[in-house]
Amino acid sequence: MKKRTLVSLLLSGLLLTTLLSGCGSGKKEAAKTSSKASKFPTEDVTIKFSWWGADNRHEAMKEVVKLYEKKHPNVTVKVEYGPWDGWQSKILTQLSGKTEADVMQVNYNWLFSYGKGKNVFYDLNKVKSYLHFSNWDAKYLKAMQVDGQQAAVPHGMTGRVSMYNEALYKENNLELPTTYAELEEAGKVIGKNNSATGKDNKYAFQNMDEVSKDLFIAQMLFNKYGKVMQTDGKVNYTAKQVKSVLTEYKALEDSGAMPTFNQDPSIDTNASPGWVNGEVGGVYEWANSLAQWAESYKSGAAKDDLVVGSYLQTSADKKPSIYVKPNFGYAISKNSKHPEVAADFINFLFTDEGAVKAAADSLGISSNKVTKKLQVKNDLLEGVVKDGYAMLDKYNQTVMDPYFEDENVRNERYTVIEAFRSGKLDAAAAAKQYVEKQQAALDKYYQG
Amino acid sequence: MEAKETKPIKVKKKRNYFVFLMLVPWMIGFVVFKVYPIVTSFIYSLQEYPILGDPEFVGFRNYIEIFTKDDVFWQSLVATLKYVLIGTPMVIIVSFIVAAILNFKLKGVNFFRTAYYIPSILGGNVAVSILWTMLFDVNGPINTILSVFNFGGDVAINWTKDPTFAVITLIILKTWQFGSTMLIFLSALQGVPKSVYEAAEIDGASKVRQLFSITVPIITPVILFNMINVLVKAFQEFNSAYLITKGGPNNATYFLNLYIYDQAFQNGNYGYASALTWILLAIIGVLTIIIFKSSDKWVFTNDNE
Repeated sequence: MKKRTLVSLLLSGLLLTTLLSGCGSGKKEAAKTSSKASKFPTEDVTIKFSWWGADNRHEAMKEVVKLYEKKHPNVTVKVEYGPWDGWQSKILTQLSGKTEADVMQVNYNWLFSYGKGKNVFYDLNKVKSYLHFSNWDAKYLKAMQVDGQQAAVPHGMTGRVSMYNEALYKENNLELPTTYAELEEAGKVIGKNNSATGKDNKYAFQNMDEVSKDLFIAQMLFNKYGKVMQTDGKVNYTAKQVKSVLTEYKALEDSGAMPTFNQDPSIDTNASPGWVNGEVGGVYEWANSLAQWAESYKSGAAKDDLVVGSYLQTSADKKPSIYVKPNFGYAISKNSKHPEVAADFINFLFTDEGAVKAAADSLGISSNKVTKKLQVKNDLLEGVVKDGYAMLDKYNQTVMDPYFEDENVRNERYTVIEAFRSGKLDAAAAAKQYVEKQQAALDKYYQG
Repeated sequence: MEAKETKPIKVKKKRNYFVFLMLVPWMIGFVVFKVYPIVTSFIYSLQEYPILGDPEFVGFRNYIEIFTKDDVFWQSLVATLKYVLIGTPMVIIVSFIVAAILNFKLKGVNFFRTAYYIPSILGGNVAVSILWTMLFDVNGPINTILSVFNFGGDVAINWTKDPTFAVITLIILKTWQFGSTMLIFLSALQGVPKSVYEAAEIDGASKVRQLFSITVPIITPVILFNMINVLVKAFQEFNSAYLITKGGPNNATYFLNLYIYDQAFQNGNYGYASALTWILLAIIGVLTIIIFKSSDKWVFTNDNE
């Protein structure tokens, strides 16, 4: 009996030791990290860099890493990358388990949503000697400040723009639309032979995925009422206002300008057959992502067909204000053992000519003054990406509220939009839920 | 002759500690990877636990919120139950029928056994999901084939966009992956003594009668095993809904496991997700108990004789 007890005690002890030692090591490392002096090390160092994106970005970033390692032979940069789908949950899990990369490409809303208003990343003020904050416009840096700390530095600003397949419009003797009414009329012509679910259907415009639909509707609301979606945790629209815009959006679908819920394609990315084959007249995409849409359109063989159009207006004389946001930023992990190397690497991404050239147009146009200068000098800004950014510059820009794209908040809008489009909810019921459910999600952040 | 009194043999009980030593790795694994997560997940379920924040004890608030305020939970539960209650019998019936066919001595039967097993190895992976998305596209091959039976008219079932058909699409996928269940049935069928069938044939029993009076009763323990196995796995379905329908349309395929995942890893609500997990566990537990209890009435074992 005594021996049995002894065995049990030994087993329990072993288990507890394993568990406690696991808990203990993290704290020790964190303490060590925070006490590090910001000197660039001369010994061998390994850091990890993670990003999301398409293949062109993966190749470009790997090239940048090689250049950095060549410049700093004592530094090894491990890489981790993947597509956007599932990337957010991956990073969230890594942050929770303290296994995140030293340098992370981060999305704007993560900075605020993850810590519910507290910064969960390394305060970049501690390594500002490496980063040269003066290279950014103060308002862009401010967009990535959380709780008084610099959580990340933005790569650039971006916004959704309309990119049209002008060839399809010309084929139908149509000008590119400038108002929602013109888009509706164009839909009647381009989609005149459409069937309920036909595979050869043609559309004047298509909001491919749920993000696109959400942002298109948000811009319609902004255009019509001149107010942004939310301010300080309060939804700025009434149910009546939302109902009006949802009804107008449905009219665009019903007229054939855009696919209805039942006509939506199974593949809702730039690989969607409708877009690739030239049966879609336009898409609403981030300015920095337009290159990949141009590459997939007719396999990149007809880029001249593509034109960035002006923002749709409610009436010809009412120029809208538009939403913009940091396209992404770079943050350093709070658990990084080498924040100064991480900061130096970020600085390299922005200021080294070779790195900027290697990145080419895979990251979009930067808001960092040095990077932008290098991008211009090396003719890296071309085609639809350049046109997209030029279009953004023509409008009065409003930086999107950081909770606009928060998963909890955004999901409420998505769910309602889908229910409305599929006929489960009528416009009035959908509008009511659009406001109320979004507000309830925001309240969880603002009221605790 | 006087019988010799035999002394009872004394079995010397000797504890073999080597066995315990061999069990240690398993026990550590069991405690660390099973007991610890189970216990902590229950503790989390009683907390408001943002993934990157500090947990706060809130008692049963998460559970109360789920049952009283969370519309999505009820939609998710209905979707899951539809999937499980239709999908489980489908898999059992189809895999039994195929196993019965493959039990015959047919030419090339081993090839067919392998071929039917392959889909279950593939599981719900990305390639299968893309295949399924293409097959069940509104303009895809399935609708084209169905159009042939529609006297020339076009069939335009929107498999993944229509809430009813979206669940059916995923059930068909699950049914298609019947291989492992079929294999278990096949081995059970091969264990039924041939002499019983021979006796039944002599008595003039038809093949159908043999099936329902001999085969099915003899393999009821295996049916029970398969049923519980398939049921539990169906409740835990994730991949197909995540990859093909993304839980839509209108949450029609938003299975509980997907909802739990979103709550934990998209929205960062560990506590709420843990409470949902325990509710799912309770549902699976109750249904399993009901099936086990009912098995006294329909499962034939040696104890019944």
